[in-house]
Amino acid sequence: MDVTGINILLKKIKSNLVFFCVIILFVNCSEKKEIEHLEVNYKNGQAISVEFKASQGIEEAEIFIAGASTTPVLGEVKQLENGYQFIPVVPFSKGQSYEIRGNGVTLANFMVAPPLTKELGELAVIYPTRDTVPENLLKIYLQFSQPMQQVGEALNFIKVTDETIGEEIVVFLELESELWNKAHDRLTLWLDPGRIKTDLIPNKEKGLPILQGREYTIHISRDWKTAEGQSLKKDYTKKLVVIARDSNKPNPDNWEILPPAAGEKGQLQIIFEEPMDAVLALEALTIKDANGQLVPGDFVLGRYEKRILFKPVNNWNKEEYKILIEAKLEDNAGNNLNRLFDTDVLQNQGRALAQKSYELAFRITD
Amino acid sequence: MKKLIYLGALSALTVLTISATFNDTTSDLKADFIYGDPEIASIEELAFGPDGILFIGDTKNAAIYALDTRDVSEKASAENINITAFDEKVAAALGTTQENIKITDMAVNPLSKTVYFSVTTSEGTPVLLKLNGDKLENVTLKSISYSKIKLQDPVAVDAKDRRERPLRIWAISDLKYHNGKVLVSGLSNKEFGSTFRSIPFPFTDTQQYASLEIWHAAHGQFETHAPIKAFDVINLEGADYLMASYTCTPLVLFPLNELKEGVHSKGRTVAELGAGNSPLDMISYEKEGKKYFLMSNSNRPVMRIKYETIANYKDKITESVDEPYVSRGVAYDNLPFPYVLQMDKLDAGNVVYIQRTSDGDMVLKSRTTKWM
Repeated sequence: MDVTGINILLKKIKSNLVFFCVIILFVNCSEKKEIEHLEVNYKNGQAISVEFKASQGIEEAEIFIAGASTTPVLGEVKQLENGYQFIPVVPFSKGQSYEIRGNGVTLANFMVAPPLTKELGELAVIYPTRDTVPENLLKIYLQFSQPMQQVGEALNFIKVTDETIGEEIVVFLELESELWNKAHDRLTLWLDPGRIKTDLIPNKEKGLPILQGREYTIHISRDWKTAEGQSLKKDYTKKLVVIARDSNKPNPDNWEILPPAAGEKGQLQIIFEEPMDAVLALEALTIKDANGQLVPGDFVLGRYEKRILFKPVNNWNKEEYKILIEAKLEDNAGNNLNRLFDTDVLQNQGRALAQKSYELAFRITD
Repeated sequence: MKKLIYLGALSALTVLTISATFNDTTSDLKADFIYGDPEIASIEELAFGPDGILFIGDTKNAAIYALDTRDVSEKASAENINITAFDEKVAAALGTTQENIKITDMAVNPLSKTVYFSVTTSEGTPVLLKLNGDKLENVTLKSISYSKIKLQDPVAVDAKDRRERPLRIWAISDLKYHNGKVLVSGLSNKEFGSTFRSIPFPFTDTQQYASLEIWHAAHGQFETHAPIKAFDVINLEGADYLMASYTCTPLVLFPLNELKEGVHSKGRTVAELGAGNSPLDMISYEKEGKKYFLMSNSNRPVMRIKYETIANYKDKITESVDEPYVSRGVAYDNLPFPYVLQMDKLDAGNVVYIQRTSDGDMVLKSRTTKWM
């Protein structure tokens, strides 16, 4: 690409910048000023490149994080008409100071603006929302208000205390690939499944992660950072009061259906027999009309995930509808519609019973 | 400034060289590759195939990518590696400090013996780096020759009622290339379950979902939902086996030729490796005519098992283990390497690994298999 080409490209980049800040900081005040007009270019709040002019005589120049680092920052260098542009592999870190060094001598410093948002993170909800849980509780979800950092280990920020004995204990399964959703704002934590399944070696060695009759507190530290590098607003706690194990599969036949009236967009209420897995409950249900067509609308969880509300986009007709329930729907103990999580069902029986979905009918009347 | 200009010129020259040699490095396997930005959203797993092809497991996009690294010059052996404060070095190369990065995987190109690393930043930007001497280099993910396959949901039901339906996420837990197939294991972030896929390469529309069943020692039951954490393919007495290690401890063998669509394969549990532990990486190597198998773990040292021990273990664990803390099945040796976070075979005589030392330092080291 010739110089004109670079300039056109540069103008294009500049015209797209949401922020185009000029930061000239701490330019080295040595006798011979070798780097000047240093500018950090921002796009969508990210420091995507740095531009500067350099006088003759600079033999070696590389960018380092300020301090003792001897590893240069990786990136691409473009020669501009009046200077140079350095585009790092990943945007420069917010609030970080950098040095341009030549032959081991610091020629200039620059600092990248701190994060734009000062909004602290929040732990919006912990599922299950009810404190009372079965002894064989399989998983909890932490739903945050914004995407969380994608580095570090989640379990470093989570502690569990057995309040009955006053000791910190380990209940969650450590996984190399943490189970986040795509937005990285919801984390799934499994209570160690190997300890929940009766007679597995982890179960024999360590016993159940939580025990009936005891109380536990889950502490989530405010030190956990959001993707923007902000802490959480506060430390969070969640109490668990453990009751007897749940050894029953969810049975849709025992659910209560409260249909709304016809000709309106009223909410359909489905009351489960027990609190269900929050994430799966929102995914596992669909509504079909009398012609077998899917009814568009949205599901919202009710109190303690023991009920779910469906609000249709269009008015209900006076006809029979069906609720289609995927068999993967689980209660809080990991029991789904086909099988108990901890069961001695032999392979053939298990497969014979397996069906993909279940149906419940209800009728809309006046 | 010459160095900067030199780097710029080198990049331009590299592009020219790549263009000039495009046909030279294109094998049949790369015939369907396209050049451009694959828009990789995350890198959880790396695995090399033939001809410098690097497979990338992207959980966020629920996809596997095959990248042409063009790193195809063959080298018999690698240089020794010994880098301390490796996480600091990686972070500095990305213009940040170590608390803002995570090394998600490491893989060695079996042709060039070059070590590749996938790294993520706190904001989730995926980066691919490779080691050149003691220096790190960036491998661009923006303009590269690649092919891609989306991981279909094997149990999805048709649901078009909602305007937005969340994509099912399978956290890709391991990835290997073996004999024309990309093998992928994954954990669900919702229900307790796992998938194991065998995907023919070059990618077509075919994906095979093997239904794997294992016997849980002590539990006295067959288990089809347990998540595979790490696996390798090993050859025993002329037959290939999938050696799968599970989150809930057992080590299980499945004949590879049985892993076919619609075939329900029952594994042979050959070892129970103890509780409170999660397997991380599995590799095989040969020493003095004998084959060995290594497994790194989250809470145990690296375990070594001899192939012949596995081959000679004709039994399977199908009975209860009554006594706690007793491991069962094939014997293994604990090697004096705890907290090995990543591990791969470097060359015929060396292994490379990333280890957190007792003083908290993260080191990248090679080590001769003579002492392993």
